[in-house]
Amino acid sequence: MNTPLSSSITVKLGSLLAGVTLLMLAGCGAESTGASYKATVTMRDSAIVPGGDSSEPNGNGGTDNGQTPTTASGFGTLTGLVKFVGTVPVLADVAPSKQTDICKPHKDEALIVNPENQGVQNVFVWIKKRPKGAEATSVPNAPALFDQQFCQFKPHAQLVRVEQKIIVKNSDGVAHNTKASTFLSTPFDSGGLPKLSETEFAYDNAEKQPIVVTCSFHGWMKAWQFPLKHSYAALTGADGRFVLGASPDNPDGLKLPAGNYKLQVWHESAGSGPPSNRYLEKNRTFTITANETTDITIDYPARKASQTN
Amino acid sequence: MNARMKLISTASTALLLAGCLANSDTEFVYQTQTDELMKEAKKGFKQPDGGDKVWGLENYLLDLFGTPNDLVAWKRLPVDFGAAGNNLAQGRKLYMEHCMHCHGVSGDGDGPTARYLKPLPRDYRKGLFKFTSTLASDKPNRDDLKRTIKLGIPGTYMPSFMLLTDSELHSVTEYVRWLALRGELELKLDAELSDYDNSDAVRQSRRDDIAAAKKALTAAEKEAEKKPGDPALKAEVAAKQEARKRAENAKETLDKDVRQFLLSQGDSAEDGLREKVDENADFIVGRWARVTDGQNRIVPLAPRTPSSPESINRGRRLFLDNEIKCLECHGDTGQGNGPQTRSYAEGADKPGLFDDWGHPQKPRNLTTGIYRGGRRPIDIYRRIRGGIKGTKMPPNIKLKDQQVWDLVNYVLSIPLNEGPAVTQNKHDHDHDHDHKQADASGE
Amino acid sequence: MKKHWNHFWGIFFMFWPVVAILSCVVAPARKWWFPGVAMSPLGERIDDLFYLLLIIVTAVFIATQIAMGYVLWKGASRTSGTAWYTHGSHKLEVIWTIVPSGILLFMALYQLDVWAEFRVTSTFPAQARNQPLAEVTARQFEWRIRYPAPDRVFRGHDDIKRWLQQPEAGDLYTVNDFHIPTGRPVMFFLRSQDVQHAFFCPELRVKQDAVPGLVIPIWTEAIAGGDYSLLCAELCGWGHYKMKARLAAQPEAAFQKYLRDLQTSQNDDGYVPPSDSSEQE
Repeated sequence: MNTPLSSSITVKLGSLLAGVTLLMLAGCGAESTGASYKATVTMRDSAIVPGGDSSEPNGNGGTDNGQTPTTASGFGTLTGLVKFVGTVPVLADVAPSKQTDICKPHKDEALIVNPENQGVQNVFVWIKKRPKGAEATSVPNAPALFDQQFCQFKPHAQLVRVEQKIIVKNSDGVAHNTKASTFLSTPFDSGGLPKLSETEFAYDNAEKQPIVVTCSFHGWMKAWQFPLKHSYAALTGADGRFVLGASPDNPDGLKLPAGNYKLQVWHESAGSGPPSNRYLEKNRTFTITANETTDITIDYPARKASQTN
Repeated sequence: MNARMKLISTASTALLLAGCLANSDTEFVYQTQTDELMKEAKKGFKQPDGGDKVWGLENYLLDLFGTPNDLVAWKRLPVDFGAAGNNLAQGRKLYMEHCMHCHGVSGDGDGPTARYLKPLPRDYRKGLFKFTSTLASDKPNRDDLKRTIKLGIPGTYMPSFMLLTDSELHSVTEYVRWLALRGELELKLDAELSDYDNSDAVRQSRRDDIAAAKKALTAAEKEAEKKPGDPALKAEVAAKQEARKRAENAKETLDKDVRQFLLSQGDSAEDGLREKVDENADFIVGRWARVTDGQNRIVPLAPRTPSSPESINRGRRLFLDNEIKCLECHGDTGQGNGPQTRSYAEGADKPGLFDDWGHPQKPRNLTTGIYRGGRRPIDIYRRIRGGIKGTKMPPNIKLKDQQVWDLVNYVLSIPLNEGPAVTQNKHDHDHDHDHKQADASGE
Repeated sequence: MKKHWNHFWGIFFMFWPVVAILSCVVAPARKWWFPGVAMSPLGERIDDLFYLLLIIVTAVFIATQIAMGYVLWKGASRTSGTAWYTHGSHKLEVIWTIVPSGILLFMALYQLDVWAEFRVTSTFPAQARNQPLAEVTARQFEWRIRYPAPDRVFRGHDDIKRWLQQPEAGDLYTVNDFHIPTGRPVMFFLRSQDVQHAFFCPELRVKQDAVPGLVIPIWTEAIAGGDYSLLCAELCGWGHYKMKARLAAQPEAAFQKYLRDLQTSQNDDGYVPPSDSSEQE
């Protein structure tokens, strides 16, 4: 280069200063986010305001809200059968791994199929909401009994009402620890439950589908409970049959206003993983006609019987 | 300058100035359950005939909680937002400076430094906090959280923020509670929307259903061909065709169903998402508000039995008792190596215990003298009575107060013991007596 | 123009030393200086040493900068003539080796006793050495303090060693809040739970690295009460900058009361007698 000495120095000095300035400016973006950012806060009123609408909060507790009143004429009931289709898998007996002097091997209750009519026991069926116009039943005063003996829960499947007292009993010769893993209601942990003792609790919110109850000490122990805010549900019996809304005081079940409904059908062996993945059928439609009993049959295909629970 | 120098200096200038323009807006992340929902359930949908966009889960959360840079103070929540939300803004600022790098912007325990930490930082979004003074089924109250922040958690990476002023401590606690409330509402709505799960497993099972229905139909048709005119077999074929149609339309039915669910408001055949947001907000607020004024705290009904060799011995027997089952997890020497750490939980592929966040959880080694929830007798009492939320440490309400104090005295004495911490309990012949004690260094 | 340009660098390099001197002159008034007067006797002596060094170094600095400025100016003013070669001056070399060495040797010897009193355990005041106050453990990113029980009297070095190795039932624990009594020398032990930290109290002029695996005794004496800062002075991770605790110096009576209050709250059993209507925490 043939540039004179002074201009070369000028160039070098100038670019040095320019570079330093740019380096210092590089930090400029930092103020627009991060800890020093002054976040804005919008105060929002108590009621939900989506899209400008406001609504009053619904009541909670054991009561439920039905749908818009239908000009229903007459009531009917729903009965049904959940039938196993295909070769019934033979489940291995449950073999307890500890305290075997009291906990003996027993039949696996995860899938109980009646050999005579292929009916499946312990299938939960329900409709999501009590239809308006249908009878609103109150929470039963009598507590539900949930027991455990010989390291087995009794009953294996149970329908309860929200806020219904459940007596958790330990009629066993060993201590247990009963836990209910809930999604929408408060989880329950009995803590150490010594032998021949009991405690009680109640679900404070309905669940979307049955939830599992386990024992911390005995990993094979499993039962399913389903708290609902209404009684329009049923559990299939040993013959695989159900009557919607039936109870010991009311074996004929609850009456529904005539119309179309959607039935949810759920069983623990219909899938694996979270309870939301174990539906036999979601939104199975059925129709109620006045003064008649609707009877439906739900197929339980063999392939749905999940061996890994 | 020649052309090459000009090019280089322009390029580097542009690169350096890029820092001024970059403005990455921080966002709250959503939980896995939310991410696995159908798109409409998450983000709502636009109505085909125009009109307002129908909201999904993310829209509600955005409306009710905002973003980290534009917060929304929803007055329904039991959070002290302060006048014009000043408290929340100050809490946010402190949180971003002191807490975010471990606990994450959304309080998910997955901040930039979290990957180097073991145990992992707390994920607030289940509303579960371990070291509380409230009953086993209750939320923590403000004092519990303030204590944790102020004293730190020894044995973990949570340091003590002793030097925060009272106002700063209050505002950052409120911000943490706010994040927990947001996470809880999101989880509850995920449960409500669980019908609209679109995870890989569910999509696969839909495909399986279609394949199975096709197979069944083919089989039924074959049967019907063998005996044409048989009404039973014809009915069978019709049923199988119906089933196949149902299986193939399952996705469309679900699409319609989710839109209906998001659309419906108030008195309709089914409650809509809006009602569910309402109900669950009520429920969550009720549970948090239940403990804000010191209610539902675990308070002993008897003063502590003074520590004495007799009391410690009684506590030792209780610890080793087969009915109370401390040693199932903590081991007979209290080192945290009990049989439960070697057994497989249902569905687990690794042995040992797991906490409610799905992480492996080791029972506490009681010989170290490190007490994460505090070393006062009342703290140990609360761990025994109330359990530790989110972990496999269960509550115990059946023991009498005197028994719990004996246990507390024993637990506090374990690190100070010179010799083995095991007494031969005549009911427990099959416990091995490990006469080596773990090195009990100080804090 | 060219002449001015030649002097530019001379002025440039004289400008900055003048700025430096001026900054040092105005520094105490603008609080760019020590955080107040030293609050411990040894600290005062350390400050004295510092000022001595400052004076010596400032004098040398001014002298050498004036010399350099003279040389720069004269050299720039010379417009003609070529450089001339020299083998240097042996006498000059000897002078400016011996004199600075002498100064340095003086400084090294002069400060020996302060250094020893600060670092050598056997020179610590006996009452502090025989009854250690606490064990301070540095950990990322907090300071954990363990005091012996208030009525604990140590009998000899082995007793202290045993206390350091094995916590005792009456020990009191705090975090980020270290209290010391004023008016008497106190000694405590410094440990680290994970990486290197450094115990730094600027007001007391105490600084000591915490090395993992070592138990390092530190002694000091607070002249007056107050809340001082306990900072970390060894880069220990991302939280090093905020690893700050409160070091509270209190008169002896208040300090003993503090320990007893700490003991009471550490033994809190949460029990509220039934007649009390308010909750106790």
